[in-house]
Amino acid sequence: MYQLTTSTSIIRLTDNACIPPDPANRDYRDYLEWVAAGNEPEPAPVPPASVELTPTEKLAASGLTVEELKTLLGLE
Amino acid sequence: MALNKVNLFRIDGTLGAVSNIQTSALNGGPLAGLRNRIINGDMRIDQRAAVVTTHNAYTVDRWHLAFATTGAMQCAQSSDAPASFSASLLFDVTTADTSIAAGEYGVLAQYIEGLNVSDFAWGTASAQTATLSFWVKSTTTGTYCVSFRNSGNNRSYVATYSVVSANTWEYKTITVPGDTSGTWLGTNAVGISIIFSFATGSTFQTTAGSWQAGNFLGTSAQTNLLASTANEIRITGVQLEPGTVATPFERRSFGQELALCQRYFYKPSVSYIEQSYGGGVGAGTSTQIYFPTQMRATPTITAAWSSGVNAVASTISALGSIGASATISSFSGGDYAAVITWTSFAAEL
Repeated sequence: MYQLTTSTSIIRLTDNACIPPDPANRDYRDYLEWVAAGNEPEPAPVPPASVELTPTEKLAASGLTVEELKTLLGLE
Repeated sequence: MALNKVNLFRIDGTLGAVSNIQTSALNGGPLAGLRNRIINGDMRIDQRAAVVTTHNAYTVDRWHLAFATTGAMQCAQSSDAPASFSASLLFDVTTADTSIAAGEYGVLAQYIEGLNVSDFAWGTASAQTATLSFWVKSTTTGTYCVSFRNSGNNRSYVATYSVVSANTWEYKTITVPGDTSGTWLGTNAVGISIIFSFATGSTFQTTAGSWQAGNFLGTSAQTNLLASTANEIRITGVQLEPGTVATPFERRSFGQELALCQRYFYKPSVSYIEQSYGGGVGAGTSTQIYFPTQMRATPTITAAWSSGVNAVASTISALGSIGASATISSFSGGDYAAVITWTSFAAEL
């Protein structure tokens, strides 16, 4: 029903609400009662690993050709 | 002969004045400005605009449905209202519970923030008398109950009223002596809970008309509105004020009332495009939204990301009680963007 995050907030899985760790917040109090009843939240999701592009991939992502890049950089 | 002292003064009828009237209080309370400690007592503000059917769900602003029953009901704003009102709150039975068990109940309630009723001084020897007034229209005549309860659920005062004519708007007033015992919070937590009961099991029944130690919602005379799916009840014009007299419903502008409600719930439903050009892997950017009024506490946030391009690791966090922030970062370097839609912020009691 709940999931931890990499921050101190809690995610309520029924509506993906982000619940702050504020004792004055009724949703956080509900979460604490849920935990006190013996339940365990799901662990924080592991973010996908970032991908470092190769120079060729970066060029492709830019939409430029090699010749256009040379012109842009004044290398011709 | 000069009249310099009046110990008892009562006028039945209309009192007019052609000159200034000087007085230190009106009905023992403030002369003007927030006499009514109920927010959205006329049920006009309905940011959620939803039909609610679940326990502890909020319906029109500041009002929530609570129940424990084998029956079922739905609550929503209604345009059926007495003269000079435009809305009411409807409690409609959808599955009957003809025999209310000990622990069963069905109620509509508003929890008033302690900061707004601290002058009532309940829990002290200086506790003030308060008066609740409201309009009610029910399919079912009989005795109904209203409970005044503290945050610890260990002090309750149950009052009764009668619905005399079916399907007719009736005006009710209830005067409650201030409680000189118990703990009544004057903070941003629950100060006084006002609970309209439509079914009450024996666990929550007590004697009407006096303060009791415990969590009580009604009496044994409470009508079981849940007895039939043909039953429904509407309330509006709810006012709680200091003093022994129910004064006319305090009219506040729509903007004022909305602002009061937004301390507890804010539904912006706006989208922001968050984007950045260039940047390496993991480069991040954030956008913020600031609330129109400071909320009662750090709110629960619902929001949704969409249309992400090369964006990852979106995080959402509250900026205390004044705003919220959303952050995205670049997945693989280069341009990245995403759209965030802020759905709601809730800091209800």
